[in-house]
Amino acid sequence: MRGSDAVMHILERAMRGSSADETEALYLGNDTHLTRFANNYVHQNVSETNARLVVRTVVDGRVGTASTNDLAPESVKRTLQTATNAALAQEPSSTFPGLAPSAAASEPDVYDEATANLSAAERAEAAGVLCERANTAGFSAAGTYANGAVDMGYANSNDQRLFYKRTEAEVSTVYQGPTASGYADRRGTRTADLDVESVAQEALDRTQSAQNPQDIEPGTYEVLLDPYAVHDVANFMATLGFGARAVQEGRSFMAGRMGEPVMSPEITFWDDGSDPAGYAAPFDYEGTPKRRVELVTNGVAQGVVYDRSTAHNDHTESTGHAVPPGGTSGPLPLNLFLAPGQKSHNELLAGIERGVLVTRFWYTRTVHPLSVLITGMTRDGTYLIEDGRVTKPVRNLRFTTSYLEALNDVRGVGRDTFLGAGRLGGTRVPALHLGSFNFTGVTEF
Amino acid sequence: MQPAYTQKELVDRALDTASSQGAMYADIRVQDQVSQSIQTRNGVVDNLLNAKDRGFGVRVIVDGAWGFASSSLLETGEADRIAALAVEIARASATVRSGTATLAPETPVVDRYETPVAIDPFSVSIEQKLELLVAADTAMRAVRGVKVALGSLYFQRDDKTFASTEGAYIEQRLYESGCGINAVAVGGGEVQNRSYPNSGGRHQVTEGFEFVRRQDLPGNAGRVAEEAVALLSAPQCPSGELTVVLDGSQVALQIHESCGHPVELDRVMGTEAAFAGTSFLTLDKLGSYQYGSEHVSIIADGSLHGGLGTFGYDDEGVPAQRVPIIENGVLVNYLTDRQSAAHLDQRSNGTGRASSWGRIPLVRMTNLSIQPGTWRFEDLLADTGDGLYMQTNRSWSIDDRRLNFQFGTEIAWEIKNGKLGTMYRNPTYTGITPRFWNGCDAVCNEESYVVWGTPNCGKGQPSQVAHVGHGAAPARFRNVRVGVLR
Repeated sequence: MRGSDAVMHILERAMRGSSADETEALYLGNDTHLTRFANNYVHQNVSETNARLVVRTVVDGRVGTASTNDLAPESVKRTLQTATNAALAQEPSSTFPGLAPSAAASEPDVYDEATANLSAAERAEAAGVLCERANTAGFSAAGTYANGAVDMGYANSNDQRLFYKRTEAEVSTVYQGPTASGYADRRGTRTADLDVESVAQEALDRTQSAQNPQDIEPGTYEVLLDPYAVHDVANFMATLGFGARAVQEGRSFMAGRMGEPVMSPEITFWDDGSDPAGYAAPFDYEGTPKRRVELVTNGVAQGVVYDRSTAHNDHTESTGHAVPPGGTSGPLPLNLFLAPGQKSHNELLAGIERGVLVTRFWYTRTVHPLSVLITGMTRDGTYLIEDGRVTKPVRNLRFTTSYLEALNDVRGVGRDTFLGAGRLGGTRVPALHLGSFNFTGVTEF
Repeated sequence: MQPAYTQKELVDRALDTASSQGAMYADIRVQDQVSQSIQTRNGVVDNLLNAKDRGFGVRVIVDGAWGFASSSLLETGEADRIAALAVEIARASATVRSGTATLAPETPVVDRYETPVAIDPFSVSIEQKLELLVAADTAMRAVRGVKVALGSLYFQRDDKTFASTEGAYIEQRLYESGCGINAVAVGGGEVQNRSYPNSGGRHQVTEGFEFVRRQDLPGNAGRVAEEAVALLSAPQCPSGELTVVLDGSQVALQIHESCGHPVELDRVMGTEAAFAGTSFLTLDKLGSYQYGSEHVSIIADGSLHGGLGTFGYDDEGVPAQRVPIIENGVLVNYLTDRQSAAHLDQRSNGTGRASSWGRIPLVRMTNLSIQPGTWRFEDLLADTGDGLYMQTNRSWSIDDRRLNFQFGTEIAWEIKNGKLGTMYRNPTYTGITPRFWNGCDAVCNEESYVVWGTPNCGKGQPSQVAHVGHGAAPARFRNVRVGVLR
């Protein structure tokens, strides 16, 4: 990684000589490494070093953007000119709210030197542990062990200057048995926090208990969703409901519902880019420091996240949730949290007379955005719950259900939370016991 | 700063360094991509981004195992560092090894290929491009009830060099052009969307700006908007087991998800098990499995003119090829790269593709197309009598062995007495892949045949988004379960 001084030097150079009314420069760097294994051996093992400069210029409200990862001085100069030319090619506009004003951001401690510099040999050793455990049990392991660092710098003509760097660490595996598979993962900002042995044990336990799955009839069931599955639920709520653009365009279930109950009182969502329990990022892609935003508190709609453009439309301030340049989704909560409850896994199970335990979902897609109606499959460990305990594994099920309706009937919330991958960020959630989930089909395994 | 290398010098330097440090095989890909994406939203330019992305990746086999490293720094010392890092990574891979990494034989080629284009899309001014999008935007918003009007253009030029220690040196210049419009209508507790020419933001091909002109976005904008608004009050698609006719773009999606992915040999062999999944088309089925009906013949063709998966050579230096995958319903081939083909003692059929300089080649679709049948579309409707015609994909989901799927389209029409009747909203259908394709009893002819572009095909870790194509015409399927919203 270049470090703060070198990055800021590139950004200053990128803005130098601009003829635009306003100019900003964004630096996005990564140095990332991933070891991938399948069939109990390492089959892919990769590393990438990259850094991208994005320049945005504003002339009479017209915005042009250009990017390059060729950071030589001539290339940087050309990029500024390309952005300006793109702005000048447009008609003047009065809707652009201007670039971010100067403001300080928090500095979360999320960079770990050991994680940034973990060697290929150390990654292979971790992969070897996961493969060996699977092999000993007669299973086949597939998965990844990844480490790396990202850094981001921002500068604009309003004297806004920001920089941060973060490390990332992840291990995940699918163990495949003769008739079914099981999954486990861990994520964070330090490889030292990834307990590979516990991941192996969790995948092993799930896989052993998933063998010889039985058929059950599709229909409406109570479900216990493990955190891996809840990540998916939370991410859909974020992308379809919690951004200001979706609300302003009437595409979100939050539109016109502020202050009203939209979910069960058991549900509290917020976004917090400064919390190191997630993938902390202190400012967004247009240089606005991130604020904590209460989205849903005890089931009641509290707010949505804004970038500068959507904030301008609502005569409010950006909350620091702009997405990367080129994105057209509007602002999104990229550091989402779902509040934990009080129950252990066994206590959640005990509350279910007949239901389905879901490890994780797969290939989930929106059927209807307003009701957050989603279809998808279960994967890597699906089980029947009877009288408060898991009684047998079942074949994977297709569901077509409204996540929003499901979150209106919450019977229990787990006490432990897990960090999962969100869209560009992280999502930390507990397990959920939901009262009603609509399974519409079954597959052959 | 160190003096800049010529590209040839950088390539040679990286391969020499890899070899001298112990690589028994090495290749390097240098890629320099420029792209332009323009999006309008309700008459305003929402995004106008010109991007340049370049770098190189070195792939090696050392001690019988793979390593790969990549960098955006095209500098003297970086070529050495990256080649050495690739070797170090391969040595680490070798500590958790099974067998020896092997490549199917391939004759090294020295060649150059360039996408034929009539109008270089980068020679067309931004003003002209915006004029086209604004005209379409205006036409959409002229329709009462349209809440959001979206327009999109995308252009890409890739200069790629592949070289290997076997002696290959291949240069390619590949062009892509894409465009699309969407109208979103909101009202009465409903949100409905119509797209043109395809869903997902745009239709895309390996052609020049002539493709965009042919699509006539402004000329289709009014219809698209009117259909979006009409869907708000259209009846819900009925449920039941029906005869379904899918439009060509939805047949393309069906091919992509339920044929293209399960015939990727790396998936079949389990190397994508942790993420993309495996495949129900296991090796024992090759040559005999009745995947679909006799009307279903599907060919992979990396040389198809204009297809989004068209190129001269793949990212392992293997020439683009035309290969039958499903012949009269029977599985006859998989998609293979050099690594997977070696396991079958075959030659690669040219599908080793990487999404960028920073990613390794994986088995990817090229242009996977159903062969046209004999039916004119109107004749097919007339012959169908009663059923459902479904158009333009809206949602897509399939299990990790590619068996159980559920797809939704933006719009459907009742087929009544051989003609299109009532419009329906929220249509969905579901099935099990081989049962569904064995229920195909008619494919339309060349008159309604289009090579559709899919610019968002995901696979691999780290993730790779591939650009692939699918030639398809409307087709009829019997006994399909439709209307599975609840």
